[in-house]
Amino acid sequence: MSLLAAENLSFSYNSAAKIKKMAVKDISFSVESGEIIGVIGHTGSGKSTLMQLLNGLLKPESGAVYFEGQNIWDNPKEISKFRFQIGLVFQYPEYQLFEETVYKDIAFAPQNMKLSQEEIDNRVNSALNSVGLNYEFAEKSPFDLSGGEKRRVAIAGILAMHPKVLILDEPTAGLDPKGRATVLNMIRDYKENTGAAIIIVSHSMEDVAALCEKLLVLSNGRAVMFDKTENVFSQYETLINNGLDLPSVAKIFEELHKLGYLKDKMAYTVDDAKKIIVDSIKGGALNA
Amino acid sequence: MLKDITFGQYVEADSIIHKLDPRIKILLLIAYIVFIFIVNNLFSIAFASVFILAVTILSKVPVKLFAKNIKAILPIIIFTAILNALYVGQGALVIHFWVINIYEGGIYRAVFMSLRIILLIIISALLTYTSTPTALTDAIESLLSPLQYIGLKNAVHIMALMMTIALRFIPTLIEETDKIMSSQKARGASLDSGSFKQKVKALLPVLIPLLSASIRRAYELADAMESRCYNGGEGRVRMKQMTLTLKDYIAIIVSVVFFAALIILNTFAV
Repeated sequence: MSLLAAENLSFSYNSAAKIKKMAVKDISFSVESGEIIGVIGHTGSGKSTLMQLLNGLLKPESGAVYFEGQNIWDNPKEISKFRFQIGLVFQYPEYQLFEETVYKDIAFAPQNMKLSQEEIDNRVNSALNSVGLNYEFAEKSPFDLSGGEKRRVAIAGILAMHPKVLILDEPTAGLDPKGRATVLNMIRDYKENTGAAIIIVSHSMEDVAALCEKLLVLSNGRAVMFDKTENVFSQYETLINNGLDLPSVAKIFEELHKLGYLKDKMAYTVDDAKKIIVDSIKGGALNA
Repeated sequence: MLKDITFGQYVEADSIIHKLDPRIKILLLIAYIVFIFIVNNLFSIAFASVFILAVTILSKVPVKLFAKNIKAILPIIIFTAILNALYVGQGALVIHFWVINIYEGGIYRAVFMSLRIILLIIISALLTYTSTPTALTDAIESLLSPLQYIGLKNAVHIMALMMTIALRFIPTLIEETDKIMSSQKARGASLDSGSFKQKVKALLPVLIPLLSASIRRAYELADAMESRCYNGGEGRVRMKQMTLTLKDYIAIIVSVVFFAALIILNTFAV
């Protein structure tokens, strides 16, 4: 039994123009505890819709989402129970902050879960801790923080629910390199510490290459590929045809292959590439 | 979904009414309203009904849309009709029941008043169905422009600009609201259950981010406008100049002929 499984999910928006456009068509995949899955696809490929289907914000037209084997829409009145288990961090989540203090904002979800005051306290503190903000931030107004700090507070607001599945829609969009690294590390740490499953939507091939074990490739609402990261990136043609690309490092390796170097080696992250190249130079393989 | 709310009533169609200058449409609308109020017998109003029906068909706007408008104010029409039927005591007694007496004059008056209200609704709707909100604000700006000679130099332009911006941002803000509502629901906010007081309280997590987003957008828009050297209405020219064409003159002539006919009918018909 998978932690979270989507089976033949389909969904379409009824636009005012009465043109029915399928946003998600017949998508099936599953996630296990401790896995990090990347979802990539061109703009309008249905990524955001799929994420909202997964945590029950949208109801699928056909197909179903199973959390720990249970269809989340079996009892529509209990849907919020699943939303707490399957935490969804929207794109630009800092725009949802509303409370007077960071503490109160992070406590919003735990309060909705009707937890005890003591438990709420614990959760807010641990959430602040896991996004790398110290307790001094708790009494500040979220509107006085910097962009990166706001983003972290907003993510902490979801982490405080202790979700078993954490879904993030473009968590690094609009952040500087340092902010990106901080957020990606936070996500990795959350997985290590809790064993949660992570689903991360991203436009950055570098990010997903560095973070994800598996990738789900979407195009026009359909799942084109669902496979291990290196297997997906080896299908260069398919990626290009669906408006995607390889990580820059991988493209350098492709060029090296054409020139006859490092034929049997491939890297998708800068760290891997560095290791391979340094090793090869030491081994003399790169001497012309 | 909130997204499904459409603002403004513009109905896309390729008709001569759509192509008329919005300024002419507004002025003619005012004239039609005045004439519908001037006429005071059933003959003239019946004639006006036929004419306006013809214009409606010419506009290619689905008739059921007008029916929807009329349905919305049906209670007012019925109320007016009943009131008129009860209070006008002219002519022969038609219905006598307990303390209720309805006379011929009352029925006549009730039909007349109902028709008058229905016609007002139809021609007003015709304007909004056949002109985009932007065209209307442009037209209002242009029509009010004489006010600049009495010391309201920039006021008209600023008002029109405010209207245009407000209209432009309604869909954006609806989308924004949708997004904020979804993210608060993902944190377990229950937005549509509980007592009235709870519901109002539950709206705060949506309203506060929405307000801050609106202010942010206002600043961004102001910066974007200033960086493109916007400095008020003086010396500005339009991309789409409103000019009167043959169609507009024909519309004016037809309307004037109609008004004349209406007055003649109203004076001489019994």
